[in-house]
Amino acid sequence: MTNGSDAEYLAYVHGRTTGLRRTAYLLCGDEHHADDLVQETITKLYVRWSRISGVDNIDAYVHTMLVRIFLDEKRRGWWKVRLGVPPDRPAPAHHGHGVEERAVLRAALSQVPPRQQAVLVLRFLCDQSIADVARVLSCSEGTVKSQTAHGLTALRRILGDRIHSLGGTR
Amino acid sequence: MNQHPDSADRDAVALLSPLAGDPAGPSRIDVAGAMAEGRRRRRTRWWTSGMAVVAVTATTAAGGTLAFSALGRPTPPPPRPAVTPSPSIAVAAPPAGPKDCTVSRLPTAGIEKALVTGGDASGRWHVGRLYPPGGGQGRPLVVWRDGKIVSQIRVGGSDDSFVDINSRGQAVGSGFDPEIRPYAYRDGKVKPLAGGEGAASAINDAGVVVGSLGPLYEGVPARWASVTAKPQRLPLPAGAESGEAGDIDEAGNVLGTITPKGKEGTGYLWLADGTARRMPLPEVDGRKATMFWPAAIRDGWVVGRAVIDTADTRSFAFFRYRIASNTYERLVSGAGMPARVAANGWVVGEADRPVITVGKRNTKLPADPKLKGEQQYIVESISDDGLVVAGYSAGPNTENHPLLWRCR
Repeated sequence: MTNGSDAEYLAYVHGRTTGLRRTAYLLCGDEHHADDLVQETITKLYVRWSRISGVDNIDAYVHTMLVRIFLDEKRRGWWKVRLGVPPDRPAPAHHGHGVEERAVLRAALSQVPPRQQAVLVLRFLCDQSIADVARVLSCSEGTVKSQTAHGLTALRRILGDRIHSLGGTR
Repeated sequence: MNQHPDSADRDAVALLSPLAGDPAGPSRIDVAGAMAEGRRRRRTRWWTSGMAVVAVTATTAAGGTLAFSALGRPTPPPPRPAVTPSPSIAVAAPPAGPKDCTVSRLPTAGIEKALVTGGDASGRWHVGRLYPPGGGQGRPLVVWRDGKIVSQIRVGGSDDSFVDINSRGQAVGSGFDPEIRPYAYRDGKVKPLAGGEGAASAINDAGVVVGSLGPLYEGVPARWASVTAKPQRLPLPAGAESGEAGDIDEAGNVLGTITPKGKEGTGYLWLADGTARRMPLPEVDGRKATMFWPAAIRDGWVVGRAVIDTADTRSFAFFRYRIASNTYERLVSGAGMPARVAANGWVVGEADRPVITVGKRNTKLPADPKLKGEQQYIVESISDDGLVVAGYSAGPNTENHPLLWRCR
């Protein structure tokens, strides 16, 4: 049942999967969960494809969808009960940072309010500008700045003394 | 790449740097599957299908939120679970449902952002939280009676919140200082509940409080006979590592979740007659549910969602359960995700707007006409007559408004 529109969709999605997976992984910290976030994003994208395939900046649109799916899921209460419990499977080691270090930081980040989590990840792990993050979250740049400050304060408070066992400057 | 010129940003990048990196394993993205599911969704939105399909594996998932008080009579459980497969809810008496529903904002002492976090069975008392600009003085908790603020309280911990209030105006909640501590409010004052680290979930009209003892999400279910009593642990079945009591009805039936080691929680009942049992798992389209995540109990009714996991999908189906008959009834399509149940069996759920479901009839509650942009509506309470619902809106810019819906 492929038609011209489906072919465009396929070409687009195949070119963007790696980038979307990376952002999803940075947001949620779990590889399988990240794939599920991307799966949901590209499903929603397909539902709307005929209406949006002509827009100027599809990449920005799709990344916005991904972040909103992540936030919606949090808001629906998925995060409320098992928060802070490390996943069963061992996390792969990355870039010389220890498994435990990553787990401690990820568990702490997951206790920060969801929008602040998203702001911290997008700004400091995905290297997005304040203006880009404001667009993704449909808020003002001032709000991004205040959410950044609140998120960092919360993260540092949750980490407490453990912050000293993490590498890098604080 | 954008530069972060100031040192605060550099510190933040360094702080978060251990989390950097790409997913290591192969992609499980299924583009053909996304297209197939996308075609199906073009025909139906999830909240009209009666079944929410969320493609998320069980990594950080939750036992659903639990809370609030209820009215009930203890009833001995029959031996076997039974399921009514088709959507059908029999409500004995007229009226057939709410009508002429209106929405209003609860007063917030001039503060723009505020939440409702609970309400009582009479529909007269509500609790919530105010977010003054700047936030330097913390976030005062607020008690409303008949739609007016009667008390503003600063507890002094972090993330303080009331979670429930009874018809005598006694509320319970928890805050962090630094670990989580439960407390109770009455006569204008907040006092800690006994037992140290723990969280309160609900209080009934008799003043019995339920919640958990120990660290949040890793504690054990507990019950306080009164706001001044020492807590008692509620027994966990063999194999369960942790759990929480989330709600209690007037008869003293306690609804909660138990969590086996390494797994996610599922529904559990500690009944007023002293027995306790796992909630049965309903069948959904010929498949037995993986778990049941309860949301609320009232007068022997329980509402919640069945979780159906397959190798790579997770879906939910929404149910009302009757303790007396040990039966599940699938909620009619369009009922949304059930949040609370009234003593008369009416269910309030969350869809694009709150929905009151009576039998096969859904009544969508009105949106706040003053709000701009896409909103979600979170439901926190329904009165025993099913005519007063409280909750809040969540919109762009983390904007929240406390809302009260009244029907006739």
